[in-house]
Amino acid sequence: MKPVLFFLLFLTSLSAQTPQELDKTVRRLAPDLVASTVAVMLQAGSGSGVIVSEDGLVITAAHVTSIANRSLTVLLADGRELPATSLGVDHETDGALLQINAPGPFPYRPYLEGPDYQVGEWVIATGHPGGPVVGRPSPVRLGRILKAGIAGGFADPITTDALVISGDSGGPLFNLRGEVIGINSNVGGSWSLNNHVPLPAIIDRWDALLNGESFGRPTQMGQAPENSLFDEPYAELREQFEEALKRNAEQEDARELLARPRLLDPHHMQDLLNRWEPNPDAEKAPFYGFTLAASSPRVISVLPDSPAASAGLSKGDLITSANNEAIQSTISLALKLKDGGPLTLTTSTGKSITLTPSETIARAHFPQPVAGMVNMMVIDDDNDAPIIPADEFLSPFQSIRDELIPSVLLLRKADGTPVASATVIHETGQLLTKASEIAKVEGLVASFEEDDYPVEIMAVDEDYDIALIKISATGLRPVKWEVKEPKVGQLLLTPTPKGFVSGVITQPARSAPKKGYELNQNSNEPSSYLGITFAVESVTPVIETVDIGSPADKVGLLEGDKILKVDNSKLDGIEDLGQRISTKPPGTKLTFLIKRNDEELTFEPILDVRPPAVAGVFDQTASRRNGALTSLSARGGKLSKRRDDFPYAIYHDQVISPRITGAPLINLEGEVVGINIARALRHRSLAVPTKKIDQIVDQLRKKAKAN
Amino acid sequence: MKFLCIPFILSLPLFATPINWTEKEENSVEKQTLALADTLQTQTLIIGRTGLTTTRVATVISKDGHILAPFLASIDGRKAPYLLYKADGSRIPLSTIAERPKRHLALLKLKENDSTFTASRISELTNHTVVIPTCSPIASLGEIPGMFIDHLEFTPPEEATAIRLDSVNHLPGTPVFDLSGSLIATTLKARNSNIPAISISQLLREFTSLDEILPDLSESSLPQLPKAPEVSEEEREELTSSPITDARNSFLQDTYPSPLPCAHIFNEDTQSTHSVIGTIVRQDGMILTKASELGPDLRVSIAGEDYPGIILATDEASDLALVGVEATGLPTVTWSDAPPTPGSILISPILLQGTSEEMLAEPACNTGIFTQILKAKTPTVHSTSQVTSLGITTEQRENGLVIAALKKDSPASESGLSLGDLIESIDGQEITRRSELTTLLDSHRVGDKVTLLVKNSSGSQEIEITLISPLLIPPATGIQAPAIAIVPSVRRSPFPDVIAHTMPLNAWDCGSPIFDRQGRALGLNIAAVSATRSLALRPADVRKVLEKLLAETRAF
Repeated sequence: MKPVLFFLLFLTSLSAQTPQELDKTVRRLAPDLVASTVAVMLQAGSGSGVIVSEDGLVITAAHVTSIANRSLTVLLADGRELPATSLGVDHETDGALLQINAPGPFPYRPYLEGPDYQVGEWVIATGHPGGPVVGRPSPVRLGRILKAGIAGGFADPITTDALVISGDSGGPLFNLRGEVIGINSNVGGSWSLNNHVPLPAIIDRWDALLNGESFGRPTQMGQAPENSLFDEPYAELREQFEEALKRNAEQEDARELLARPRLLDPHHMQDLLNRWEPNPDAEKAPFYGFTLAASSPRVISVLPDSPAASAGLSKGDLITSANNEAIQSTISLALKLKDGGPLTLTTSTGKSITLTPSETIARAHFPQPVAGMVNMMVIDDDNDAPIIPADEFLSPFQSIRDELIPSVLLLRKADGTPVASATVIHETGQLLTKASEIAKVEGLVASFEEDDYPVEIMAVDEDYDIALIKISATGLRPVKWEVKEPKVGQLLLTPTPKGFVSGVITQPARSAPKKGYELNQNSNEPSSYLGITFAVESVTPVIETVDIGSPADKVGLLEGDKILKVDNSKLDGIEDLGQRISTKPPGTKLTFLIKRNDEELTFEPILDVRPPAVAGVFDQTASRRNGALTSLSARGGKLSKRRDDFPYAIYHDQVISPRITGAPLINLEGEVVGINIARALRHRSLAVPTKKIDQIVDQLRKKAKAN
Repeated sequence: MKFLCIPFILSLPLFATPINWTEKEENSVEKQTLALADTLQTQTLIIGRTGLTTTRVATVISKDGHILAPFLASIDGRKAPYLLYKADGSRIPLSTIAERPKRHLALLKLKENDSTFTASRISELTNHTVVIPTCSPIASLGEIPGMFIDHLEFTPPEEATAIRLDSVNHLPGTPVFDLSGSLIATTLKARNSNIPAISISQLLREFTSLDEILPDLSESSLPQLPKAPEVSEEEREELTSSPITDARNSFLQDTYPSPLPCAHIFNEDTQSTHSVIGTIVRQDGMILTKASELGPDLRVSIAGEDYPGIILATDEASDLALVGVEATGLPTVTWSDAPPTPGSILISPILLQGTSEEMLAEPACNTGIFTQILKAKTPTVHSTSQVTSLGITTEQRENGLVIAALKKDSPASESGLSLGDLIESIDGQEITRRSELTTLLDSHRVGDKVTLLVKNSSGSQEIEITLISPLLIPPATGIQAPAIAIVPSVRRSPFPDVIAHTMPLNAWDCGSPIFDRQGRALGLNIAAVSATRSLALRPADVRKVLEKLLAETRAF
């Protein structure tokens, strides 16, 4: 990415909103913005999109749909899964259109035609981070424009600090009038580098995109390949390798390979590629240049021209210590070698050799692509992301911050390093904090008015990871509580040692499932639902069960009814009926001619949306998906160690440091709506709501008494 | 998502009387599978269709050579011929009698009688354990169908025309046998967590052309085994797994050696956090696992304890890696050198339901049946794993090889070759059989040019074609990825001689040992290929590689 050339900070009418006005606006807009946001379901993943016309035109990202004229499925906010066709794709700007193939009207949002936005302006991003999750509406995230690009692509995007992540690709960026101004495209590792395709760039090619035209080449970074059982997952590497093989035909190992059939292991190909044409950008690992016996740390061979050779290590040397630590086994030595850095080795003959490692290319990893979300493209962080200081916007709250000084304390290690925050719940010195952050800390103290007070842990709630602690300080003031659960879009603050961080509630409160247990929307199930089943063993379509409240139930179809005709044509068995139902979108009226007690009757059920499947089952794919989200998130800063598996939590988008978990989450009146419990993912922080805190505190006090 | 792992759903204890599965029951099943390994070989065959890369299993159902096969959609709607393969890779000429796509079946007939086949006996539905023949999605030359054991979820009601199988591992149109070796049903499309299978006698009624074939309907004798429970209609809806499967798995799980000589190895690099199983081979922290699943940073979990892991050495040919952890006194695997007999039952711990980080503390159980040893370097039935490819699919005719399909966007499709052209020679060498073509292609490398002499109605012509890598060609049109699938290993070939078995594995289950019921390891799982086909290395080969890996590490 090129450095940002111009960066002007306008504080205009839109950005000059007061926090109260902003809170009201986001809360009012949130339901409509969520309703227009869709998930774009592909065979091997999913992205997001936004409906922009009543008849179902959707703007999304080019790296989501990849190619024009493919059929895909769109998942609406109301749960309907509808067939859709991709229209044009513009890989130069990363904008794309698709059309839902079902009768509307659909909930849609207007879009901006010109570059009518500016730096500093508040914006809202929506989408389906990590892929659509059953029962979770699209999370709403608030941010400000940090760079108001116009042309799109990697060179000139709209950059914001509205936190988006893999799966959000193609989702919309709205202004505070609820107009689409951009499309989520890519992110930097830094949490303040969220890039969106500017709408004007898409408008520029609007007619061509509507016509299904394509621009540019698909980027390799985007979508995981369509995962077929017969596809080779590393075909791209093989192609690259075969080309390199021809270019390096004069190399000895290449000559040998060219002369024989070759179906090489991916790591072997990568090794050869590294040797012939080293990629300077590849990840590096330390290299000393010798091999060992696995069962004892004896040198088996020393590679010529390696650091080991020049330092004088020789074949047969038995290594007894490394950096003055005794070496018992090859494994312990190998683990040291992996860490890199200069190493002084002593051998059994008393020889002492100091090795300074050179570099080799680190081992590559070729896992199966993770199904379930379109990977967010990650650009390299090259320059510090421009940051708009929150000070001015939050200055009206200085008095609230001052009042909180005796209510929110910082917990530190003996050496002064901050560990977590704690919220005062009783003036006698009872506080709540995040249990796992303080669990193994020795000499933990709480700082208050320039004094440090030793902390005593009274009791711990493992489920919510909350600890009740006690200090013997005077002058503490318990916080004011607000039991009402905050609403989606509500603006909230968390006090930090310096001031406040702000953000909004992203989605309704719910459990925070353990890694691998988050139930993603299953796109494989047919979406249309009638609500009848047949006996497994039957061939004739006689209804066996009718689901209560289903479309079939509503019109009065009964168990035992024999279906003769559907839409005036005869049925060819049960599978034919299944086919006819699954190919019709929800909302379609079907005409059933049935036979009941020798009487022929007609019913007209209207197909509904299939209710989501429920499960509470570990899913390794979901776990891997979560792993991918975590590693992308962790590039921007520290996440909490314990960050999932809470029975109930408030979800918000504040960038809180793990050091301030335990601090209260407050509303604009200074009342506490919850206790921050985790920085979970790039787009997700978690807090335990006040009504749960009440119960937890009761139990913790009982436990403390019992102890 | 289509490619999530198989949804295993924890079942509710629905039945008051638990099913008892003991040594005795397992022995009687294994006795039958050992016997069936022989008899099914003469009754089941690997089948494909011109232009498709996929292979399935078909059954001989009459003395006159009628074949019941899964319906395979032909490319471009043309009536391409079905292809039946013998173990030596030769094809048997067939005619298509009828196709019933709705029942996922085709009725075919051998053009000439072949005495190597016997017709399967056809029996009424059973409420016992069943056996399902399977093969690789792209079968190798010499591959024979394997067997998969499945259980009924409940006893079919009286007059029922279908059963409900517990697994979701089979594509529609797959034959189902009872334990005596009688064909009883063929599978329909998978439902949520089960597969219905329709009875053959029902099919005989629907499929009128079957009337003429006079199938063998003689009585069969079944061993004494727990019967599938009889359940009410409401209970049936709630049922998510067969109580027999649950009982059998829990019996087999108890046969694991304790403590389990396995490690759970996590990749900790930024790309992903996916994991794989390792087999502990030495008490001082040496673990063998599948090399190609490993990234640079490893965390190894053994009996709930976490260790940093390091790759000490790898072997490319076998795809084994020696991973070390700083630990002592670990439980180690005991190898068995008794070669498994086709039909013998294999057990492995796998990474499954309800557990993640602590998975190996309570390992789930998976079973399969040993099928055969697959020789290294056997070409597949189709051209997809040859070393080079012409970009064409051929069909064997009496007078030679005829071009049946041209790969899209390959040099062949732009060379002037047309469908129906007869190949006379390549580079002057006469080619009349597939084996000759395969041998010729194997002697070349990608990028070589060969000259084909082809003949069609307008005469003979010479055409030069550049050979391509078969692995780079997209699969032939018409392949439908199975609706039910495992996540296959990234590296599924090539390997030295391997054990082929029918245990369904996901990529992350590789590296695990295969146990017999005495807890001895018969092999090490090395590749997940498809829902009913996996590959494992033999103990003798594993030990040979281990010796090499222990002798010298990689260069640090």
